[in-house]
Amino acid sequence: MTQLLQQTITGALTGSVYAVVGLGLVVIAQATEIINFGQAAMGTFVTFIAWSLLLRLPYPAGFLLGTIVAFVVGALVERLVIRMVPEKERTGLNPLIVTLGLLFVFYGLTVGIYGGQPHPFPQPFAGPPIDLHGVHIGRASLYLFGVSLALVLALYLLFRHTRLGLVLRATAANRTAAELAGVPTDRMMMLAWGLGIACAGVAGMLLAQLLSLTPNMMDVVLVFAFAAAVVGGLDSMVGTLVGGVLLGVLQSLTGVYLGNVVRWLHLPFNIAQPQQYRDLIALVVIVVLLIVRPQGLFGRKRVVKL
Amino acid sequence: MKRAAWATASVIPTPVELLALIVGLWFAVYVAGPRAGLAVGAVGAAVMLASWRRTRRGAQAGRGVSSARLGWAIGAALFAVVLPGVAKSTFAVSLMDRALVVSLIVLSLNLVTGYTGQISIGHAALLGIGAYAAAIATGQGHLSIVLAVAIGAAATAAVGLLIGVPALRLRGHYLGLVTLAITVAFPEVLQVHELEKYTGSFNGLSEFSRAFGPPVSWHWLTSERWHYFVGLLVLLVAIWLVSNLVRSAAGRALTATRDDENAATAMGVDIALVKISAFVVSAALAGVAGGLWFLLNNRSVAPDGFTLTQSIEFLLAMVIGGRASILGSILGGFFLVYIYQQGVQAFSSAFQSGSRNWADVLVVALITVLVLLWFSRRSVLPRTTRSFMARPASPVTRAGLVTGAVVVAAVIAVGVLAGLRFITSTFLNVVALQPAFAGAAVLLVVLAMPGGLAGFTRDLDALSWAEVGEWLHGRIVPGGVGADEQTRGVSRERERVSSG
Amino acid sequence: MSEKAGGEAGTSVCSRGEDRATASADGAHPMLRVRDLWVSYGKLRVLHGVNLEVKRHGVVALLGANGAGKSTLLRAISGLARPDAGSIEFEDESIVGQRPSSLVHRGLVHVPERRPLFADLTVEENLMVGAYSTRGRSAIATALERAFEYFPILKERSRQRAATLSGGEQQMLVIARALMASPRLLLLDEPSLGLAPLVVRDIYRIITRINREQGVAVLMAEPNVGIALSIADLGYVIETGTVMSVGSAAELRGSEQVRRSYLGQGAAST
Ligand SMILES: Nc1ncnc2c1ncn2[C@@H]1O[C@H](COP(=O)(O)OP(=O)(O)OP(=O)(O)O)[C@@H](O)[C@H]1O
Ligand SMILES: [Mg+2]
Repeated sequence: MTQLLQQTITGALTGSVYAVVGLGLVVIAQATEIINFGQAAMGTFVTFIAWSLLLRLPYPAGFLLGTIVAFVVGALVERLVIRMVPEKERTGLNPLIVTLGLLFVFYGLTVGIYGGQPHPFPQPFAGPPIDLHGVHIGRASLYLFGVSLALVLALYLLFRHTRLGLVLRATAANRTAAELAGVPTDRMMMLAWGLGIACAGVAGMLLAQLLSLTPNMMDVVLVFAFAAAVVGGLDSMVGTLVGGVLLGVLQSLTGVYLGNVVRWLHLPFNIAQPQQYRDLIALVVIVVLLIVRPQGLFGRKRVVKL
Repeated sequence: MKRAAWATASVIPTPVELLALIVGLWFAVYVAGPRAGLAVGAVGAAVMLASWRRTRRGAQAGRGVSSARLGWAIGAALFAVVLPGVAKSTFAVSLMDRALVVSLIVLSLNLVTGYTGQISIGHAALLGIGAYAAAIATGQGHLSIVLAVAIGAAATAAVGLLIGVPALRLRGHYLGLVTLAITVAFPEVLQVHELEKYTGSFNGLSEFSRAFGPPVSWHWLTSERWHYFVGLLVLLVAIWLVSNLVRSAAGRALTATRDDENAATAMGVDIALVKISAFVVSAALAGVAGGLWFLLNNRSVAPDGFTLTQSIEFLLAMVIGGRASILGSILGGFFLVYIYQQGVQAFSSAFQSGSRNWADVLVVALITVLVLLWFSRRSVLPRTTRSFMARPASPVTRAGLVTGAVVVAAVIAVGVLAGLRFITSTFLNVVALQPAFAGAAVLLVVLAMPGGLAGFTRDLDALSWAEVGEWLHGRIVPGGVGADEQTRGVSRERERVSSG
Repeated sequence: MSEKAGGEAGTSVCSRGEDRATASADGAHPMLRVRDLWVSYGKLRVLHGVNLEVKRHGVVALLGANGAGKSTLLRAISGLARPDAGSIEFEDESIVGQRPSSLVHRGLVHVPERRPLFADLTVEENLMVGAYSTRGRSAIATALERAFEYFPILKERSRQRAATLSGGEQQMLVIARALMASPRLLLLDEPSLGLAPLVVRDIYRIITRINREQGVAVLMAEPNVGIALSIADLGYVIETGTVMSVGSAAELRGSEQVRRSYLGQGAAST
């Protein structure tokens, strides 16, 4: 029982980071109707920059600077790349290919500048896990969860309770109408990309202190984040958070209990190393979910113009 | 019209002919060394050039072009058959072989993604399934290689069906996500403990000892050349298959579904069937390519050959080569092998050792000039630079502006990189930057060259020296030639769609 | 008798428009001045050298059949469409090539046809988006009060999603949203489209009030001649992308040209 609780909590904590990346995807998708397949690569690139900054700077300063760099990278990419694709050509394959191009650009920059070897990432709260009646919670995970939650909350407040958020939502809903209402929509697009990539950057810095920093660190995370966003129907922040946490829990439980489940079902084979299936089972669930409910678990059924 | 007549009447090659000549010669010399390469390349290019002009003249006069076709065949054969025969090394041959197999996989991807618009980021996994099926069938199943490749194709076709049916429910990015998930999962599946005895986990499978040799022993027919010719045959069959598919009624419907699904439904086309069959045929071709891949790599397969990176490389190659185009698939395959993989390596080693190959530099410079010219003709630049400027300027100043912007961006980038290098005290690895070049190339293609290399050659076809002169003297009127060219591009696009 | 006046207006075609343009320029500077404007969509030329002026506090109607180019003209003025040639001056400054949003900040607000609103936002949120260019809490509150004063029904509906409003209420909402930006010149595109005559009358009554009380100049596209001329000082008849005639409401009402353009329907209805 303690182990179940332990695994559930660990999974939920880790899953919150998928929600952060997913939230970045949602913000960008809402504003520009583009799903950014380069999200993870951009986040990793920024994390490497933050890492090199952290060699010289104290953690809070490096973290903050990293977030700012991420924001700037996102805004610049919107300005220099995304906006150059004429609106009427943002259909079919083009957006996907552009973002895959971005993926390669940033992946290449990461490997070219920093090389492929893993680096340890500084942890702000190093120390032994916290013991709560037999349930051990790693400080890094807890920190990750706290920051993720704070970020989700901040974004929620921004979008629901500020004028800027209102204007961003209006821009996402109808760009021409927003422009005619006096909203400088191109700046809003830059802002949305900045926010989206800032999410990716923060997620990267959080993940890097939990795992270790490699150029491919976030490949799988992109799929999970995307899935978390889809759970929320690509427009719901709460849905994305729930989706991310559920995925994390699923992964964590698979890693421990898959063998038991197989035995319990009397399947004609054995699973010796269930942790190898952590990602696989989650990926299978994602594929099935997408095929059965493409509009997401919480999403309203409607035409998605993505 | 006037331009074309002038071009055919003159002995001076038109810009596109010049470009083709230079690229052809350069390629031949690259593969076969200076003497043999020059000979084969010159003859091949001359024959192709002659038949090219004959074809154009014939088309103008409304005559048949059968003798010109023969010329084309001879010219192509010189490049495709004789060139590997006189290649300077076995490495050069195996590189050509690799380009063929990559062309095949890009062609397969083009069928499903370029023609029907169903996004697949999963082709590396399909390639891998074909390769692993072939490896397991020959290794553990002790089957003949032909049978093994067939099994691989059948296996991937089944997987294609498995993806194709649910793919009907998914639009755009969702299909992208599903295929992305498959790509990410595939190498992990291969390394699962329970499958280790079949897949060999992260080491993969290899049987270097049993090379796939030619059936007759003849010293000229080395196993590389044998591989190459088998690959060539397979590619030709695949091209024949795909071009028939694409030109058939179902094929035209395929393209129609990409452009407008509602219209296609109204036409009474069974979209579902067309889409699924595109997936199945594409997967089967990818499976065959996988079998060839297995042979190409000395009968070995490993999980790290079929990752997300490869999937994206294929997609990028398809876009750079040209979407919904057979020529584009081949150009894309050759781009991936010669420019992306070999070229960048050669560039960086030349960069590091300080020795520069002047022929290469010249080719690059010429291509750059032509690309710039083409940019100014297509009036793409005003579109992309519009937001920088309040009023449209002349194309030349626009080109200058963009060149300036690129230079500034490069300087900034180098500055930033140098700064980062200072902080981390690591060195910039040019070879590792490779993906960044490919990514940048793709961004450029999407922004300015929607037809890819194949479309580029088509556009260049209409360029004359007179215009080159005008461009050099900055006398092309804003909107004039460019606008004309753009509408011409559109109508050409239409023609291509309607003729399949 | 009216035929004679109509004949005069009808024969004057384009030159008459220019006469007027120069004539009014003699007096106060016009607020908006469009000169020789050419606009096309791709290869399709839609406007062929249009001249037009709107005086400060004036109400000008654009008349013309469907597809004449009225909306295109408004789109070009507000920056949604790029002119090929010609000049557009707003308060003596060229505004060609400016973004619509920056024109909103300068007091030129376009209410496009088909009433685009933010369907998932509430009525009040829609209005708040319109207030983007207004700075300061109290200024926004004042603007909101003013909007609700003109359109009291919106106050009742302020927490409702905009998508659930009736057609007439939606039209009111887009006009109110434009008011939130404190415009000096309003471009209205067919505010009467698809509405019941009574509602149309209400909306035009409010537009007139806005014009009188706030001093907002109005340039509106309105194919219904009767309604348009009942509130406009000046009408421009546009046909296939050129100004066919210009005149005061009275002149145009009797014009043969206008009769021919509309088969006499509009004139009959007043
Ligand atoms: N986005 C567009 N692309 C291509 N053609 C367009 C576009 N918008 C308008 N047109 C064409 O331009 C012409 C003028 O259109 P416009 O909308 O300005 O007419 P209008 O006078 O407003 O008509 P209505 O009274 O029906 O609103 C029409 O022939 C129309 O088909
Ligand atoms: Mg209109």
